[in-house]
Amino acid sequence: MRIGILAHSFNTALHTYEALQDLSESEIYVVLSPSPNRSAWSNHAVNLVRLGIASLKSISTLRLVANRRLVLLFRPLDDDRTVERLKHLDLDVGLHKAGVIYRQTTIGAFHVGILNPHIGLLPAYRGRSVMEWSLLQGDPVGITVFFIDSGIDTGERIVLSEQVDISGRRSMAEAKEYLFSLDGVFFRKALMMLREGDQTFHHNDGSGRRYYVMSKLFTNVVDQLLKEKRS
Amino acid sequence: MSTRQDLISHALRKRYIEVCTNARTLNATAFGDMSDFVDRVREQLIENVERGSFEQWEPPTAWLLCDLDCLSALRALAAGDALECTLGPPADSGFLPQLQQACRDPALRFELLIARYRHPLNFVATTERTIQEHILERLMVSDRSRIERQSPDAIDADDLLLKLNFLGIHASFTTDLRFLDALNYYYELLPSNWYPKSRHNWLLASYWSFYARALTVQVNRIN
Repeated sequence: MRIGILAHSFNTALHTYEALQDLSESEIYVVLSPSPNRSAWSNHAVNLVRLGIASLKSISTLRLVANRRLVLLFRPLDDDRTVERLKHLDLDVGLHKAGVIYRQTTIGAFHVGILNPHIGLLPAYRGRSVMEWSLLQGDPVGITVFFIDSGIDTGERIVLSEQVDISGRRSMAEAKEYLFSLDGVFFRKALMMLREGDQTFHHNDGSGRRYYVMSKLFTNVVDQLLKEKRS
Repeated sequence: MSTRQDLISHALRKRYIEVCTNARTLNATAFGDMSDFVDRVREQLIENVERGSFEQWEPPTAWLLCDLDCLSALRALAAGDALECTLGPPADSGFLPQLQQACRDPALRFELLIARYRHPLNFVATTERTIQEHILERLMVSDRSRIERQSPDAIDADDLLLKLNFLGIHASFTTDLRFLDALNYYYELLPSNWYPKSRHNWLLASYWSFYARALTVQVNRIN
């Protein structure tokens, strides 16, 4: 299976790469696109510095470069020339680590699709601040890995969805960081399921609600809830 | 009551007192012809700090008709006056595409909304679910990000405040906390001394009134 980690920052991609690099029967590519807030050149200059630092610490980074599996894109992911380049890479699955919403043409450049590790349980919790909203409403917290479409967490094919225990976390920020840190683990589980041909997807039927960024008032309630749970 | 409900109730009660207390800072003279209305709302909120009681609203069981126009009806509801109404035929179901087409024209959107919701309580009807979601999304995505990137003056104040008024009314009826939290968010986002220089800037006062009502309804529901 040919897999592409889609990110703006090398460090973000590296975290996922390290979790997946020993996945058998797989070729992992790191595909870096420019951040919407930066020019491609300055974005990649920073990335090359980070790459250099990472190479000093880990041989796997050097291997990534030596095997020509580091791809630098100089245009946004939805640019026609970028889409052509992605098609040329002949990737089966993309892993979403870039802060963008994908257009259908970009998604279509991957044979199977682009996976997203969403820190909420679908179909109930779509959108933003879903960990906070789950806690506020007394529902379980978890991670759902699904194939995205061009909507907000509306992709129909859910590969896996699991509850995660965050009761030991001292604050909301810590709980969220913990969930984000699990993306490599969940990508790995999802890819293993796909590779084994277990493709009976759960259906994201759109029955849930779309959530939005939470107010400070309710955010404080969630923070207190976490503290109460811990004490 | 669970710890979770207790924490939510406590936070909402605290916010309710804050909103009512801050109503003292509403300068009625800044609202021109509508200074009497704003003054009424202000007094009502100040008096209500302890009582927490508002005129009871009945959820509409069918499409409501009233003789007033939408803006007069909003003022009446905010000031605690009763609205005379009769039952009418259901509204046409093709409203969402019209609103979506007007997404870059706030003045047209304002006109469309006040024409449809002559009786503002119709906004909470079950037939209006997609409209409620659309208004919530507009407020929490495009309007919010524009205000956060620039300032409240970067967007059409009447359009923004009208949407907040409708959301405020809906938040008094629904148990879906997303609607109340959009009002929480805007209360924190808009500067407390913000007086828009728009034609219907009094909608700021009615929004505060509906927000305070929604907070107290939710606290009573939890308790």
